[in-house]
Amino acid sequence: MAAIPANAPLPADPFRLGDVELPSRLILGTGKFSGVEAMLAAIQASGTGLVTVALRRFSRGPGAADDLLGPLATLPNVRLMPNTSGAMNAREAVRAAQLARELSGSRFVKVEIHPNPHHLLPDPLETYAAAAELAKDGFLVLPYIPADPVLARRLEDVGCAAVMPLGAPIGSGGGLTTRDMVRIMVRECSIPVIVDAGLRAPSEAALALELGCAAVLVNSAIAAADEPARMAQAFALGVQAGRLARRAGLMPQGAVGHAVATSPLTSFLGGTA
Amino acid sequence: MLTLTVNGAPHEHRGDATIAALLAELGADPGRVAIMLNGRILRGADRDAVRLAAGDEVEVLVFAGGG
Repeated sequence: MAAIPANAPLPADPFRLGDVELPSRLILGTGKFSGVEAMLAAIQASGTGLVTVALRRFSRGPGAADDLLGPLATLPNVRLMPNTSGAMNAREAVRAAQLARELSGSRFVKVEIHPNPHHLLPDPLETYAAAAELAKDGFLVLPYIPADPVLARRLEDVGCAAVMPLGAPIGSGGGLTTRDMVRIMVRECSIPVIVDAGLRAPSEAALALELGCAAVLVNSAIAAADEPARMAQAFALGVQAGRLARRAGLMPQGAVGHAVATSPLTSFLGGTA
Repeated sequence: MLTLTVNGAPHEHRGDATIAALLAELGADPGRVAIMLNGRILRGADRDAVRLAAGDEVEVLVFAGGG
């Protein structure tokens, strides 16, 4: 095997969603930033090629939502993935996706249907119905779902480009609490599995990639950090480390509580030959 | 003058009965909004062709931050 010098560039590792190749396995959300400048700085520092945006009513004056289309258009290498947040059911999500496609020209859609404002957990039945319809209509569909391997396979069967199980509830910073289910999803699915929601630390992003996830989607952990652009950079490194580790092949896990020596246990000074 | 419902609220529209005039009145950039008229998505060319009528429900949508 050829030697790998320190600081050598990482091996080529294309990441495709549908027929689109992306430069990074980190996908960013655009909510909760202190302002547009902080958001743009974090997106650039992250190296991402895909960000999600929400569709909201136009308004002017105090409290109006920032119109992000103009600012994001200044980043030519970043694609938009509109999400359907706010939709209470499949019908509303499909309509939001179609409206967003008109505006963005992007085929990506994050199907996100979480009618309960307390826990924001995705409604699997409405999500399935919307995802199936949008995939048939030519969208690259990435549904935000509970970490359910059976649902994931059903979504693959109806033509989704990826599935996005939650790590923990949206914005909670709970971490990758669903790791055992995510591991099964990776094993069972042929489409990319992308952990979306709940991650707090870059180490959790690394863990997701080590488990075989294709990517992670991060918003709050970056937007709510003291220094969002630095945290974006940290997540980019976490994702790279996890992916590299996955490809390098993690060693088999031993039984808990049993050591396996790395140094020889015999022939130490003063021992018997 | 036309009484419309724009983004769920009553709106007195004074200009031409076109989407372009309505957007100008609202101060919205036509290139940065999606439009729905009476529940129907208005695609590019339709947007120019349509004439607004009293009682129409118009939704004007933009991209905002979200995760």
